[in-house]
Amino acid sequence: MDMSSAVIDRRQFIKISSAAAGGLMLGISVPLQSRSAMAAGGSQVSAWISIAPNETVTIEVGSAEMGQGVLTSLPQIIAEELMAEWSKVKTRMAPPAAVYANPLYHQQLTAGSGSVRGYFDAMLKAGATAREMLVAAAAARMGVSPSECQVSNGVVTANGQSVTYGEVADDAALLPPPSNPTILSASRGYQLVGSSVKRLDIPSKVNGSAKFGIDARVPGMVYAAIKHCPTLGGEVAATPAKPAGAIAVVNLGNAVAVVANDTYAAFRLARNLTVSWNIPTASQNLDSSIIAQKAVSLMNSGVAAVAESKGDIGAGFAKAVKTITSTYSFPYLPHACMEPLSCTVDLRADSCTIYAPTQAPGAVQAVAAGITGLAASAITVNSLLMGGGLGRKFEIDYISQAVTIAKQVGQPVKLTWSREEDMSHDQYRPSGLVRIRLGMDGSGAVTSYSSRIVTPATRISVMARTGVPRMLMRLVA
Amino acid sequence: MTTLTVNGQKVTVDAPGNTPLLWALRDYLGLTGTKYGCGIEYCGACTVHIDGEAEKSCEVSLADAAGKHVTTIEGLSSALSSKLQQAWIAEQVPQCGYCQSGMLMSAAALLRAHPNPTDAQIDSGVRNLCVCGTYPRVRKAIHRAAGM
Repeated sequence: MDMSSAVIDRRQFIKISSAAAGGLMLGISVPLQSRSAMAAGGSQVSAWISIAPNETVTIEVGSAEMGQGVLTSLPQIIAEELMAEWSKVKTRMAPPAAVYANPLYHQQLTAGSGSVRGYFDAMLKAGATAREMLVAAAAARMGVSPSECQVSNGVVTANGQSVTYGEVADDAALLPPPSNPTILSASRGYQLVGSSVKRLDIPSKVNGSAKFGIDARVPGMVYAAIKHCPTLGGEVAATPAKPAGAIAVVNLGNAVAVVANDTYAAFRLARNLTVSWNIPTASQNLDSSIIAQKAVSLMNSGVAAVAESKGDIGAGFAKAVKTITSTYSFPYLPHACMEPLSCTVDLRADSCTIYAPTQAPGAVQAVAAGITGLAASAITVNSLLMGGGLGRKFEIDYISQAVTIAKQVGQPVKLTWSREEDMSHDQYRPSGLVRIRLGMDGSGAVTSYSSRIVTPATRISVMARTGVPRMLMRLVA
Repeated sequence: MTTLTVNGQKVTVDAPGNTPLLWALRDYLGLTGTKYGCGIEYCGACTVHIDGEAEKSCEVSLADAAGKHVTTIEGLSSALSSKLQQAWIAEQVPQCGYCQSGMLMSAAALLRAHPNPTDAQIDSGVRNLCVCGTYPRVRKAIHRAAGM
């Protein structure tokens, strides 16, 4: 795979006009074709697949790589039906576009272990569609009918002649995609899917060339660090004066950013900055023991919503000869990704280019459009590798901060959260208190079971923060 | 201005002398293979070699690195290193991959000191943090590289 270019140039906006049911593009717009041709050095057979004259097959991946192997698993599914030579397959994360949405979520979102199950059928169809287009082009080149052709490892043969995918990719790209391509693996079984191929991203991860979000570099960029209000709900009372050595101080509402010549200088200046905060009354006495007490109080006497009830729980416990009651608690936990949060923004008068580790490139585009006032079509999002995501990187707090800073300083900027800020201002996995009661009869068989849970209702707050719709939260959270 | 040798090339860095080597490498020299994880010499993601010794570059100042020979993951090119990288691929070690630059730099230093390390020597010599939990594969890959 090719994740090694220092700054991936995807500034050209990609306009997707329409998508077929299988996720394959019907109308391939010129910008998308030229982008792919530029980047992959070949012809774009569909939104998913480009093939170069040297037979390199570049496959776009709708999901984002955070260690789960999706840059390999989704291409494996496409290559199964494409019948390409696997050793020629390269892979990369697709930009945000409707055509790349996960069919399970109808959004380009990597979460909830949904990549393979969500994209599986669409990837088979994308591979089969491109194969039929390539075979049709090869058949025309050889003067035979497609039904006389056989395909193996990217080579089409008929009547003693052979043509490679790379030789006919140009022609294939101009053909109309078949509406109902034959899924060959449905009858012959899987050849590539289910096999343990070597991960395509690993070679770049053993020589330092893999580019993670935090590694983005834009010519002329400056470096920002952040200092959040130590208390939840608090806000900056007054923007602090710019300390010596800083380029700018930016008020971000619940945080200030310090911009400097390098990351270390920004970290140090932000850490040493004195900020006065307005802390709301409700937060002033907020601490772990108060939260824990509140949870115990709700456990003992709070009104609970019943999630599920089956049978007569009272009768079950009445029958029990032995009852066990046990209460479990778990704390707020930070995601603690190895790669701290980071976002790099190159904001110009009429465009905004973002480099980020993100599980939700569409949300990144939307939040940047909101802050800059630019159309979504002017916002280019480059998804880079994530050094762990774990759900933290479908949040957009660090994105909106970086875009806001770039808008204020008027030059390209990379925001990096220090490890201290990353741990102390996470969108934490919520705390919980669970009381389980179990009733058993004389033989030890369970007669009744109840579970009472006290935990924050995070879906509503996550929806408010990220814009992820309710339906989706049911699937991913 | 600080002059040092990085991956065999003499370089001059125009950064304050108290800048940690980590940030000199990443922000001034563009060598982003060396990673920031904690900044307090704990996680090992920023491990490089200084005059042949594995060091955490977040706690070595640029001034202290003056005149020294620094090797980063981008400069691991000796026969030993290429064995390690081959072993890493053969054992499919990385998942997210973020800690692996530092992991490989620690492993390379370990193999120089102990060409055929025991599990205990690996466990005590390679203390890098990996949230994906690649430790069993790291151990296997080091044994594989030692046997190459």
